[in-house]
Parts: sequence; structure tokens; C-alpha cells
Amino acid sequence: MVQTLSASCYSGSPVVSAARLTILHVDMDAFYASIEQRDRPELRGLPVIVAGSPEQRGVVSAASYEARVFGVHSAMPTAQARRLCPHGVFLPGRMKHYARIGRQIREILLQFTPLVEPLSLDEAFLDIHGCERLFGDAVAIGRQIKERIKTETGLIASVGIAPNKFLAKLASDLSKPDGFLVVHPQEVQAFLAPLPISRLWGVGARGEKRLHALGLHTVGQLAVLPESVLLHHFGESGQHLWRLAQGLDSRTVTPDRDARSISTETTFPLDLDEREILRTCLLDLVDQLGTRLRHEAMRARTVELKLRSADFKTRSRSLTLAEPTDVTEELWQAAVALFERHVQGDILPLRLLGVGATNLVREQLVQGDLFEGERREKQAKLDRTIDAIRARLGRDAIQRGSLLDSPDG
Amino acid sequence: MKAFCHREGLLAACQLASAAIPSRDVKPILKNIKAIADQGRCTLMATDLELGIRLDVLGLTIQEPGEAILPAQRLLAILREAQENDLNLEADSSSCVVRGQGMEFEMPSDDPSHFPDIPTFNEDKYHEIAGSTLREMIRRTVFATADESTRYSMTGVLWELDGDTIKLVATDGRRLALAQGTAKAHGDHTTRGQTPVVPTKAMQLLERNLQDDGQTIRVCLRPNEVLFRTELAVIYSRLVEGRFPDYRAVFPKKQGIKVTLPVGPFQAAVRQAAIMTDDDSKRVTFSFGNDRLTLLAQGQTAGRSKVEMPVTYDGKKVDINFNPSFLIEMLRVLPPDAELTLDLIDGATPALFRSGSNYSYLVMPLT
Repeated sequence: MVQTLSASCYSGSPVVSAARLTILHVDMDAFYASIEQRDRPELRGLPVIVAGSPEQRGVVSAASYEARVFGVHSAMPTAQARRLCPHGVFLPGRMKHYARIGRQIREILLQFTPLVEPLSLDEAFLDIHGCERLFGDAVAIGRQIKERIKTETGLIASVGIAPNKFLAKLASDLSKPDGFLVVHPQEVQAFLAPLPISRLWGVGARGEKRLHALGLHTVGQLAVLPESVLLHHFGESGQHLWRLAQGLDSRTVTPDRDARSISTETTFPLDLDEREILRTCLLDLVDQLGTRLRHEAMRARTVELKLRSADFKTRSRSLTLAEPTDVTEELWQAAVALFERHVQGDILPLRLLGVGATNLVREQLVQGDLFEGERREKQAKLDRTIDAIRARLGRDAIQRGSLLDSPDG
Repeated sequence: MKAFCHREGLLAACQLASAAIPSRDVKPILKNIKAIADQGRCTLMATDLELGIRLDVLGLTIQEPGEAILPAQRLLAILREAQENDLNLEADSSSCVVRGQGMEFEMPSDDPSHFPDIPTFNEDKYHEIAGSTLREMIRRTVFATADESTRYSMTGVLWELDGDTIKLVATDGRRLALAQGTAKAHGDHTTRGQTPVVPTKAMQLLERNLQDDGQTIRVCLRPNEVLFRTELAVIYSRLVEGRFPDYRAVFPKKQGIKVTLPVGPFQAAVRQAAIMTDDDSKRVTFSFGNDRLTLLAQGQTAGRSKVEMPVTYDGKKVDINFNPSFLIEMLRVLPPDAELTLDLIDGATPALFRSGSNYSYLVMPLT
């Protein structure tokens, strides 16, 4: 077993200096709730709240803009949403239906560029460089995408266009609902400067407090400081903040197909310190990861756990397996071993939990096992069955037993 | 304690003993070697609490008996760097001093009574094995143990001692090595009904203590621990917890094809073919037929290789894919002029390699 420790930080060359306007962030407005309002005209204009059944997780997965007026937002406990908006229309959600529409939207995006990185059913990054000759520049492509999603699905997407991912996502977030915002390379500083520092990716409630304590309230105030000051106060994450405040982000748009790693993560609305709940979230993430690996016909040699604590310090811990795998159970064993070893004590509470598969291999032959052959074959069969059901009926059509039952399943 | 010592002899002993020093910080005192000088004999002790060794040092003249804690890392460095062969060692609970012509080293020490004790060998139930036999058996098995903690129960070597037979078995689930030899039981010592697994680290330490031929080794297995007695050392280790898999069940019951392979040329062919494997594709296809073995490899980016060697087999063509490392690791521990027999059923079931009547090696193919 090989264990590596790597601090998460941004490396690579600054993007802005040679920046071009090629990154799009497409994000559906109140996706699930909007689908319900589209399908049932009588719900239009009403506060619609799609929420997981209280027995399961009991959190809001989508709230229409009418409901948001009452303070309801996604990831809020259903009980709280009921208190805030007692007259709201609470719906259990039809995941297979939403998934189908999500795929329809994905297809539209893929017609403009192969470089589509889905973040979830209703959100994706696109890199359109090299596609301008066919469809026009980024702004023209953004307009076409918004228009086509509207005519083909009847739903509204907000689109952010910028030189990098961080700015593109910020642009779509800030322009919602029915947004369309372009951040040109020469406007980056002016765009960022007045924003509150909480808009910087990775700054949560506690980080905000610490920054406020230093007299920093806007991105502009932070951006003019020398990098060393932030490094001094916040270590590597300070450096990361400084780069973001300059509008720098060197992450590339990576479709799963070319990925050297596949990962999935979840940010909690509140910092979470209950290990049992975190474990359940982890199982859900590993479950998604397995499905994506198998979908891309790749196997992972290394499983990586990503942890961001309340002080927004991000850590990765990884475990290299004896043999690469795409079996959910084997991914889970590795992930939970990392979890048990590293998620404790001072790292809690967590604001983000993620799991990734790295060192991916495409080799299709699998090393046989003298003792576990049958068991593994059974698990692989189970995975294939679950994948097939989900492909037809949507992700929540079937769940791992332990996700529904107790956290230690 | 105070002693005259022979640099090389003490260095060799300290190196052997230091293999039991924990690599992680368990307890600061365990980073040291404890020395006991008494009645003309000096014994070194080291332990990581799972594994411990007491080792007699030769070529040491005791001037004043006593006990002392010797800082292992610095002492080893001194013994390695010193030019002359005769050194003076003087140590008590506060300091450890090494003197030679024109040099003096003083290191802080510790209270020897704080060092955990390591058992001695006072058993009347044990097995006796020739050191050279045991050394070869260990070399032929220990490389096949699992090193990942997800397969914790396989992170050591299974010992079976019964009557005049000793069997060592090691596996990581993908391949399995079984070595057999003769031993002599004393006091009805047996492992029947148990599956004692000795950790890999203890096996390696034992092997390093078997360099001198002609010695006889005693081994005593207890429910949770093992004791070995070599000529100069007593090695203690806790056993690996967990259930070792039923290795007998995985040996093929059916008769398949049989091919004889000369170890040296076969190893050369596998190593050549393996040049074109890479991280993404660790596999070589072995194709038997027409009195020929053809090895093919193709990496994702590396290129491809084809290597042929003559064999005596003219039956139905059989193809099987192996991770070449699993074969190379086994071939490396056999004499190059020996012969191997390979029993093969098809490309999906384990292949059985045998050398003589005392060594079997099973490998699972890639399918």
C-alpha cells in the first residue's frame, strides 16, 4: 500500500496574461423545480420545492425562485423549508425524469465542443477554443446554447463566459436567474474588485470571518495585497485565494473521456462534523465514482480522498490499490480505509468531502484472484445491473442498501 | 558497561539488530539498541514491540559488565565511518562513548530498564530445521506476501509444522508460493489445526540471520507469537491476525497440459517480452503450441515485443496472459540451471509451476 500526502494548491502558468474568452459555465436555473413548473402549468408562479423524502435525507434538492424569496435554498433540511414556506408545494422529485432532461441538455452542449465537463446533471463547463470557426466566438456560442436549451427543453439556463473556470462560474452565478454575463479579459479586475470575499471559491463562513478580521471585505482589497501576506496568514490556501483574487485559475476543462483522474465531491451547506453522516455521503460519492469509471471503461489504480476543513485548508489522502479496479465495493473499501484513518480529530468539521480515482488504466483484462474471484465477479455483476437500471431509470432509481439503511451498512 | 570491540563485528551485529527498529515513531527509546554485557557475553536487543531480536555479538571483550542504551543510528554511522578496527565502548544510563585512535564520540543515553524486554528461547516443544534449508524456503516464498493492508491476513508467511515436514506458504491473492522441507519435531510440537502467519518483516529478519550455513534453527509457534533460535539470535514476533485463506482449495484438481521449461532461458524470455509492457498494460501473452512458446506484449505507448523459445509441446494451442512480474519474481529465486514444469488447464484458471518436488508456485492469469 502506498500512501501519499499532497497539499492541494494551484500550479501552472497564470491564465489571464494570455487569456482568451473561451470558457463557458452553463447552469440551469432551479433545475428540478423548473421542470415541474414546465410540466405542470398550474405550478407556475408558486413556490415549488423539490425535497428528498424526510425518511431518507430530508434535504431540499431544488427550490423555485418563488420559494427562494422565503429563504428556502437547496441542501436545506426539508423540515426547515416547511417552516419557512408552509404554503410551498413540496414535491418528492422524479429523478429519472430530471436525468433524462439533463442528458438532453448535455447532448446540446456536446454539439458545440467535445470539451464539456459536467459538474452535475444541470451544470457544466465548456471550453470552446478551436470551435469558433464553426459556431462563432464564445459569446455567440453562449447565446446559441441558451437559445437552444430554451427551445428544445423549455428551460432557462444561465451562462457565464470568461477566460477561466472560476470567473465563468462566478459570472453565471451572479447573473442568475436567466443570466448571461461575459467577463472579458480586460475587465477581470473591475469585475472582481467590488465582490465580497465570500465569492472567492473556497471561502466559507469561517474563512470570511478570518478575512474580515484582517479588514478584508472585498476581493479588490485582497487583490492589492502582496501574495506573501496571504501566504503568511493562510498558508497555501492563502496563495490560492490570492490567485483567485487576481482572476487567475489554471484548471482546464476536462471531459471524463480524457481524464487522468475522475472525481466527485460535495460541499456542505454547513460544516459537518458527524462522522456517520460523512460516511454516508462518502458512500454516495463512491457509488457515483464507480458508475462514471465503468461508463468510461476505465479502472483506477489509486483512490483519493479530498477533505476541506472549516478553515478551508484542503487535503488529499490517497491509497494505491494492488490492482486497478472499477468495482464499487473495492473503491469503497479503499475510500473508507482512508476515511477512517484521516477523518478525525482536528480535521473536523468538514466543509467539503470528495473522492477521486487517479492513475486510470484502460487495459481491459483484469488480474484474476485466487480466493476472491467469485466474490468479485458477483460484485461486478451487481455493478453492471445497477448501472443498467440507472441508465434507464435515472440515478436514484436504485440505491446501495447501506445508503438507505444504517451508515455502517 | 565497558568493552573493547572489533569494529566490523559490532557493525554487522548492529546492522542485523537494527532491522527490528521501528521505522515510525512508536516510542523514542525503541530508536535505540539495548546492550547487555555479562559473563563474557554481549547481547544486543532491538524491538518495535511487534518484532524483537536478541543477538549475541562476537569479537567483543568485556571489561566491565552492565547494561546500556546505544543510539542506533549514530552508532551505526560511527562504526561505518571509523577507519580503525579496534574501538572502545563505554556506556551507562546517561551517556554512550565510543573511542578510537584520535577520535571520541559522546552521545546521550537513556535508562536501560525502560527498554522493553525480549523473550529468550526456553522451550521444550519446538521444531528443528537446517539453516540452509530454511533460508532457501524463505527466499522462495517471502516475495509473494501481500504488502497492502486491505489484505492484512496475507501480509506474512504461513507456517505448517507437523511431524518431520515443514511447509511455508505465501500469497497476495494473485499468486501463491509453497515451499516444503524436512524438519524434526521435539516434544510433539505441531501447528496442526492452526494457521500461524509470521509477518513478512520477521521472515526477512530471520533470513538475514541465516547467512551462516551449518547451523540448526529452532522454532516454537504459540497461539499469538513465534520464537526462533538461531546460533546467535533469538527472534520474537507476534503473528499476523486474521484468517489465512484455504490455500489447498485453489490448487487445480484437473489435469491439463504439461510443459517443461528451463529456468534461465525462460526467465530471459519473460524479461525480454516485458520490456514492452507499461503502467497501463502489465501483461504478456504466453502462447503454447507447435513445440514453441511465443511471448507477446504490447504497451499502450511503449510498442510491442515478440519473443520465442522452443518447448516440447505439440498439443492444442493454449494462450494465457500473465503479469510478467509475478513470473520474474519467482524465476529469480530459482537456480538458473534448474527445470520447471508448468501445468496449465486454460487461459482463465491458475497456472501451476513446479520445481522439483518441494516447490510449487500458482499464478492467476489476467482474464
